[in-house]
Amino acid sequence: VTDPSGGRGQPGHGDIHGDQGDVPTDRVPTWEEVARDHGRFLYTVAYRLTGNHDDAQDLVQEVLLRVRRGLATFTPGSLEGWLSRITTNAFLDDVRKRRRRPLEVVPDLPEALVGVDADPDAALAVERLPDEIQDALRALPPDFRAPLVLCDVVGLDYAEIASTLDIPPGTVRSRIHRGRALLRKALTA
Amino acid sequence: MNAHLDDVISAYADGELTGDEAATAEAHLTACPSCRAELSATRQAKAWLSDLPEVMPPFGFYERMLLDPSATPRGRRARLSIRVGAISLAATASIWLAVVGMSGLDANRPSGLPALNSLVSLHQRTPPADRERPSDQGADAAQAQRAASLGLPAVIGGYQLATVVDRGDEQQATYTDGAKTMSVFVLLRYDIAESLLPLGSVERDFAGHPVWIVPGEPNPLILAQVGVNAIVLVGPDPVAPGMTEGVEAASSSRSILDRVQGAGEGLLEAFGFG
Repeated sequence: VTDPSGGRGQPGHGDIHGDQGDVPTDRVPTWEEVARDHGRFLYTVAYRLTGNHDDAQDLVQEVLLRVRRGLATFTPGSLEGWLSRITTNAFLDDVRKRRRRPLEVVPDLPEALVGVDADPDAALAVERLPDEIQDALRALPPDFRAPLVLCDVVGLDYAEIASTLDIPPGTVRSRIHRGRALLRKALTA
Repeated sequence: MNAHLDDVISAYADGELTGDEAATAEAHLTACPSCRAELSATRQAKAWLSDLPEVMPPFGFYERMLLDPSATPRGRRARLSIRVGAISLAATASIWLAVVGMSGLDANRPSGLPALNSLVSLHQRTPPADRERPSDQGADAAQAQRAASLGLPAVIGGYQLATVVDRGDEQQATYTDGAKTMSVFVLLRYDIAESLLPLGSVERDFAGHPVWIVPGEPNPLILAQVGVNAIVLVGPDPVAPGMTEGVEAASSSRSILDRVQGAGEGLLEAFGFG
């Protein structure tokens, strides 16, 4: 697993190996530390990506195994960003493993989506329950869901998301925008 | 007017545009009602996701995973009594006090230590309106009935039942003495694994049952196995300064024990251990 440069600008990545005794714990967390200190964050990201508890638990387990086996390249500085990267990559790996066909083709947004609101300046807040939002999120194609979760749930910026997903920043921008548009379509229909 | 902003709108909403780009976008927005509407809707969609709550893992999820031989690098210790020296309590805000009553363990039921942090967090996040209900008012009849059906008494120590919250596999009841509030969680069909108590646990004795003092998070915590269910008491609320002087205080000071003893004995008594 390689770490594309240009992410958080942190030099000196170090691989995690099975023997963690030689590695300073302030730089490379053990999986026990991950579970203890970041367990709920990790589970939340996994749940938002997968949309259900069974898959979220499988995903978290896979993440902890990758941490333990040293399959994840550690990025010092942002532990939760690092965990988000492992989680998202494990999620997308699984998605690609499961489906036989290449990436789903997402249709272009209908023109009607632009300017559908009657009053352009009205900041009408549409309340939606978390379960409704999660259902709409789960209905998004994974390649749109992942950047949205990284952006709005985890709080990464576009450069970090591009690095995490190994896609160009422009692609991040368009996927986030189209993902949000699809989310709106599902939740305001 | 130029073409519509399209995905520049999301980048603008996310603060991803440079100063020049943002100025250009703002100039367009001023003149274009359609893009203003799009920006408003984009912000709404962003807020939907960013306002989503954290998701709790199921109780014991991480603990079970850490125990799984196929996933753990090493076996876990079996005994933890009197290891106070291993962990300094000075850095912690308080202690957890755990009372583990023995019962027949059933291999078919989930085991392991529940996600104690999650319980403390749930307690702390219980709305103030529920936590601070005046003790002279107490719970309403329906709440009292639900508590009774769970085997929870109306009074524990000096604390009166205030509310009962249905959280699925765990039920939360809050008790208050008018000033302080504690929560009692009933984890349905849940076994507490003694061997999973955190390093640093100290064994004590309450009414003939083992008592465990465990270093931990901001609220004291009591665990008891009552039949097939586990009872976890969280609280009362934050520790006064001076109770966290360190290891010696944890092992010898009566003040920490005194702080939870009343509630602990009341709990044990209520469940037939007294």
